[in-house]
Amino acid sequence: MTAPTVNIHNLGRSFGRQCALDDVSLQIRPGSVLGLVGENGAGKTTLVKHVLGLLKAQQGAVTVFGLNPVDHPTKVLGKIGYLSEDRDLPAWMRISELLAYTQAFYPDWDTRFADQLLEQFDLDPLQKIKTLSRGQKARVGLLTALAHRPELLLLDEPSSGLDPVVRQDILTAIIRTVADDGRTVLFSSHLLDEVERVADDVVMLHAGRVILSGPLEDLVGAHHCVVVRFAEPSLSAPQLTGALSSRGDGRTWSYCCNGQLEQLRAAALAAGGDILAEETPSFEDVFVSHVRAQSQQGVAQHGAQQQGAEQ
Amino acid sequence: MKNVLALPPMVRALAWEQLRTSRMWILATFVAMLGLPVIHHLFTQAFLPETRAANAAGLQSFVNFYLISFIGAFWVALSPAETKGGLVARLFVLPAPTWLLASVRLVLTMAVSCATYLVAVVIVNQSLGLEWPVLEPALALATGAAWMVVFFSTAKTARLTEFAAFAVVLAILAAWIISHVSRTPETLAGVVWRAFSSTDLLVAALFNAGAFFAAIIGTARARCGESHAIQLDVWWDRQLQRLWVKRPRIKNRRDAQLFLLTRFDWVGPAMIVAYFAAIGVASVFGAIGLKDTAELAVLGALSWPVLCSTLIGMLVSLPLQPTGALPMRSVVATKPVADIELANTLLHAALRMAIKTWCWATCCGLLVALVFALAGRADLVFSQFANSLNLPPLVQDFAALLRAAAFSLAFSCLLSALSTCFGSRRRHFVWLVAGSFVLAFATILAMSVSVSASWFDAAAFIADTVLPVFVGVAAAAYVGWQCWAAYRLGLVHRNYLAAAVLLSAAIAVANDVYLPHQFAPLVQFIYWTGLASLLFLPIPGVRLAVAESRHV
Repeated sequence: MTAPTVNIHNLGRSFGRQCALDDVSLQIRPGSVLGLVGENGAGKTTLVKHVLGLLKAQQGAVTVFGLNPVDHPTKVLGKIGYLSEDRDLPAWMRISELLAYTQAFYPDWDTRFADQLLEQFDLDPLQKIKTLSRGQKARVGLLTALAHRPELLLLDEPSSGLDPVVRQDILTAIIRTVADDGRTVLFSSHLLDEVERVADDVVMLHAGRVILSGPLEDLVGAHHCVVVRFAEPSLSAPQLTGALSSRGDGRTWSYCCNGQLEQLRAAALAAGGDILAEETPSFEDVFVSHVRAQSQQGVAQHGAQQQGAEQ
Repeated sequence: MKNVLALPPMVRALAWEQLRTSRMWILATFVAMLGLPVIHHLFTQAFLPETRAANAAGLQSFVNFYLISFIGAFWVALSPAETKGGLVARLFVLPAPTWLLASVRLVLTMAVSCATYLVAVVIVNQSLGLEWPVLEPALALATGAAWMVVFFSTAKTARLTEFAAFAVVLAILAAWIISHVSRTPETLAGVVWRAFSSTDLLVAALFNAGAFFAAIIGTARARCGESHAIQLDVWWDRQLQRLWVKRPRIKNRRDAQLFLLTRFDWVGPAMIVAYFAAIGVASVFGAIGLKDTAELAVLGALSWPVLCSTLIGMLVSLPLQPTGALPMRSVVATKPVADIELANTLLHAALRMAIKTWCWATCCGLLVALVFALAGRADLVFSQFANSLNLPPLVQDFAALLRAAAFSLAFSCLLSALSTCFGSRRRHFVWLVAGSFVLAFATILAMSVSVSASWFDAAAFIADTVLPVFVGVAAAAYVGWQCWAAYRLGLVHRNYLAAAVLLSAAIAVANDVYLPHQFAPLVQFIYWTGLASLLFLPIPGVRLAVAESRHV
């Protein structure tokens, strides 16, 4: 078995009192595309920064290509292409200057490939970065991340600022091409359709914890949605054992479950409901279900803690 | 051979980036270093008796000059960071060794600071006939610059014990530098610098080696996001906010605009305090005597705010620059406020801050003078205070002192307003400066081919005649153009134009009658009239800048 490109083991990180990552473990296989999803503030960027060595692990360990990125920044970063979320590019440089500048740090810089990407991305090398639109900046960032043909491509919210056409034509194609070359891609995004389109594996983060991870097809296949119609209307969904989350109103409610379909069916019938339909959820449904379930769980725990404190 | 001397691509790239991002600071430091001694020289010669100007002013000028070189080094050390503490994250994701990131920044800051000082001091010495020390201060400056880099590399990541150690090192460094400066009444410049011994060189080498290791440790910590609970920059910001920035009492929209535009209110007072702290420390370490400190405090109170006002004006104009901080664009410019009102607010903010700074300088100056006078001659009663200080020329010629104070205040206000204008219209300013340089070089070239004129005659002719005429004409033309453009856009009333023309004519007549000058009458007339016309620039200039920046 080949060693994972990235190996994160029990990673924990907090900023002051705020816990950003809590006991996160994951592995990225060489040649795979891993999609990191989660709502805003879930800890995606913090995780990416640990992989880059920009943050030192307070708990656990991170290895990239078998090395600790904090101890071996040159060896690790030389094999990584990184596109930051905030497109952190020097505004005063021209695109050509930025390419020459970045080239100085990468011995494997492929000038021909860079020129090819420049043409593909429709960028004028003489243009200053401060005059570029957000989407153009994203393309420049992508170009500098790709031109040295990195073994690991790290993209933090790559779609931010890109229009749908560019997202489909460029981003998806590039991610797939990189992966097909046997190289590894880790990208974070909150655009679930995009993750669904390109990712082989998915890691779902919520409040700094991994709530779901695995191959995308397996994850979606393990979830089911059941539409139930109850005799009496209610303001909130009747509680059913096995249900992750629910949505709807009045008498008709849709429940989503993770592999406990039989239990959910039985609970629905026991509660006096009729099962109208059973559906395979989209990845977005799965994501929303888990996030809602975690949020409800968090609210319940917080309430219990408050009650305990009062007593 | 070429390959041996060639720098590795990484080093070249990092050095290029730092020089490119700090070039404006280098230029600004250079201009300030050249400009301040000249202003101070003219100021003391015009308003203070010559006997005092020969000694105290010489030392004062050198202290100012040297302080500015440190401020320049401070900004050059800061500029590649862009954010407080550490380098930008963009650099940290590049596969460059941490020691290289730290040392390129360190060495380049030292070299640039050193070179700027050397060039400026040679020019000042040559042009004003002074004999200010050259090599040793440059070396000491480089060592100080190295520790500034250490400060920016470690500010976010140091522990409390490390801060304490850092403070001790800085105190020793300051004492070491100051112990080399002393004053002699025999020389015109009034400054001597004790030559470096081999021990001094060893001390400098030790300081620099320490800076190198500290910078690497700080950069390594910053790179992996390791920070400690005590963050000096955050703490410092908070203290400054508490000290200088009052809680806003926003009652109307003018207050709201001022609230955004005066967030640099602390700069002037902070610079004044820093200045007096520096001469206080210098006095304590014995480089200058107690009497001198009292004299310097009076002189500094009058001349230092002039420099601070320039900085204040530039800071107030920041929101006007399209690429600058954005309260103008994102907050103020989207509010229902007229361009004229916004421009008036900017000028109001600049003038308010300049006056506040001047008041701070005066209070601090008087306080320091009093403290050091009492400390120096505590046995004397207060009625003999003036004699004990050797201040009779100042105190006896009270009118001269008042005149100097009025001049200082007026000049501070004018400079803050002008720098608001030029800061917001940087491109115009650059063209103006570039034009004068091109003209100067063209004239030199033309004269160099002439058989009769030697290089020295050519340079003297340019300094005495060509440049004054050009500066005068360019200033008047620029002001006229700005006034007319503002009038065309309805930003100034035609009465303003009429008043500007009438007052310019009055100034021209006054110049012709009263101003004594070494230049030929026509040259002096053009020069001073042109410069005086700058009085009319801030109002139309800032209004035009607001209109262009807002509706770009």
